[in-house]
Amino acid sequence: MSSVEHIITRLTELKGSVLTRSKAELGETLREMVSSCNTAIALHEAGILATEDSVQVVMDSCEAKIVRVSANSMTRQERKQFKKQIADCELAITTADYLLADTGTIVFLEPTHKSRLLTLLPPAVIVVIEEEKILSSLVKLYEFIDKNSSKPFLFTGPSRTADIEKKLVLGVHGPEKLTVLLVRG
Amino acid sequence: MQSRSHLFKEDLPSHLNNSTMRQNVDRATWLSMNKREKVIAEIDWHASREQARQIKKEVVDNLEVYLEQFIEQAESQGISVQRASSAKEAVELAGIIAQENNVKRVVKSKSMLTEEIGLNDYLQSLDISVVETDLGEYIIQLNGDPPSHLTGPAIHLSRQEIGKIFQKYLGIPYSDDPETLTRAARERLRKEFLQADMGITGANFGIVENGCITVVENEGNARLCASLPDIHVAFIGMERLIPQMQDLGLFLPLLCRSSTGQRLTSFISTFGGPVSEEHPDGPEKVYYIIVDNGRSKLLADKRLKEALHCIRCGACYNSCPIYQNIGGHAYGWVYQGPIGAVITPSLLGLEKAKDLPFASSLCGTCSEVCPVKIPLHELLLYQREQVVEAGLQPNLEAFGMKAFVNSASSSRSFSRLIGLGKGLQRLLGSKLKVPGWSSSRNLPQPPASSFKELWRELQTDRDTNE
Repeated sequence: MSSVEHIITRLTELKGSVLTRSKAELGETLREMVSSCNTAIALHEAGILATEDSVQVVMDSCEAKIVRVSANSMTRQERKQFKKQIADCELAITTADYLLADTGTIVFLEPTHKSRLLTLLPPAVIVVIEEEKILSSLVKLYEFIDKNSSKPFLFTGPSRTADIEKKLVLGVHGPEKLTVLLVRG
Repeated sequence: MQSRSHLFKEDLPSHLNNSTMRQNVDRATWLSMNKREKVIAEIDWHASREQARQIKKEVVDNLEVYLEQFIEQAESQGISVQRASSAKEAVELAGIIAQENNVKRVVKSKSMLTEEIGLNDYLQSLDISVVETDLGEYIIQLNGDPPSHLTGPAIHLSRQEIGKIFQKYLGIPYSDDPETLTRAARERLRKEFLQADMGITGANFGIVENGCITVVENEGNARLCASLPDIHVAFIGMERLIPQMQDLGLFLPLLCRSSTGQRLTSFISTFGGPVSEEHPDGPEKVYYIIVDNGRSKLLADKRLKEALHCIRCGACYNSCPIYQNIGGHAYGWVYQGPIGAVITPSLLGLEKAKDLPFASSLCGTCSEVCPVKIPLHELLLYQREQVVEAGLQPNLEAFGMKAFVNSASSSRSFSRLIGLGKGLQRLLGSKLKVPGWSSSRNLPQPPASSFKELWRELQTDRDTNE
């Protein structure tokens, strides 16, 4: 099984979903995915999302307000505002640093991903990431990340619980819907 | 947390008679074991657990050195670190932090350590509201129950019981649908998260090389507790250290596969110090409270210090035939199943938990499933020795053992004792009741002739025929 197939298998088992698209199709795919949004979308403009003019695409494709997540310094007041805004978002769109094939894990490293709430508060998350970023396993990851600055967040499938009679329920506190948009080329 | 472990024997019948609880626990434990088996088969189980054992042994055998390094690294990240030798000290430190920061509302994620030290009650006595955000913990907090399992604190409850609890305490219409109930909890708790001044978490691992902690969960509530409020306080058991980030590549799969049968849980976070200005969210202040509370007692014992290797996966609970039948509450305290039966007598004092090490058939399954190879059943036997040497076993047992030692010391007196027993049995028949035995077992029937008698006959026959 190729690593892409591995990711698809794992994420499907975890009740997430995977779409594979070429770079050229990215804009169109995003357009489709956000067209029904009408409240607010959080968008992390980094990596592939920064270069593909995604903000414009998303803004044009739906009525939702865009909350842009960037790395600029914020005042206390602005941070308070930010929390409220993210809490009201129905969707978060972000990149990620790596994917781990054997567990279907999305890896966010702190230097790139400065907002924790982005992938926690909104009920749905779309992760846009290039195929080249797939690593085989957790062990491989720890081999080269910076031990001090990376502070990795390992996201393996949507929020879940089995606390009630061991019945699986998704979206307890974190997101219920997880979509990985795998970009090739 | 107040313990009832000294009432283990008295409480047992009520637990055994609780058929709802027994059904729920049975289902949960077997589900967990089956899931675990599937995913353990995917890894090199024997090599992994041996490697894990060695790493934990290295840390525990040199704990003070590693602790100092961990603290130094944490402080260099701007984390305020304090050590608490007792539960009292630990909760008071938390109280001081809360009061210094004008904290009125706390959200917390699941941490057995905080249950152990009675954190919630103490903070509430200071007029600080504390809300458990893990779904299972939220349910039992509403109902005033203690947790009954390490990773699934509410598995002793059926969905109907949970439905009634939510109806009573949240005022929602009755439902026993897990999705509906979870959604109700999500709504309520989201409000609490957004209003909280301080978030409290535990730590599954403390990473010595960088002073970070790793928190392992499925719901996302621990990550929210550490990220939404301005202050993050982490309670860390002093033995929960691993040397390097890369050790997580070994320990995370072992922990997740052993505890819930997942390859990895949904949210695994590595947290450090307060976030810089470039972060739109994250805590402005981070505190670690590193807790001893009796762990150094375990550390000082050559055999028991191995119990400090525990990564709190709960696999031993799930695999234990005693736990499967009596449930977690029967153990009377925070730590349950085999690991609970080993450490509780040391943490609370032998006289407060002397029955726990005896609540075992010594089948050894716990030791087989332990991802860090703690010889749990051997340590249970060791704790039994401690109980006997402290003179704490029941009088009848002490007397019986003494009588046996005396009579079995010579072949003649032993034969006489056996002969007496046989005679009594023949005389009284089924009327012979042995305390602690006859209520649930039959006595074996003595044969017509003993082995010695038969052997003597055989010898005589042989001698005659030669």
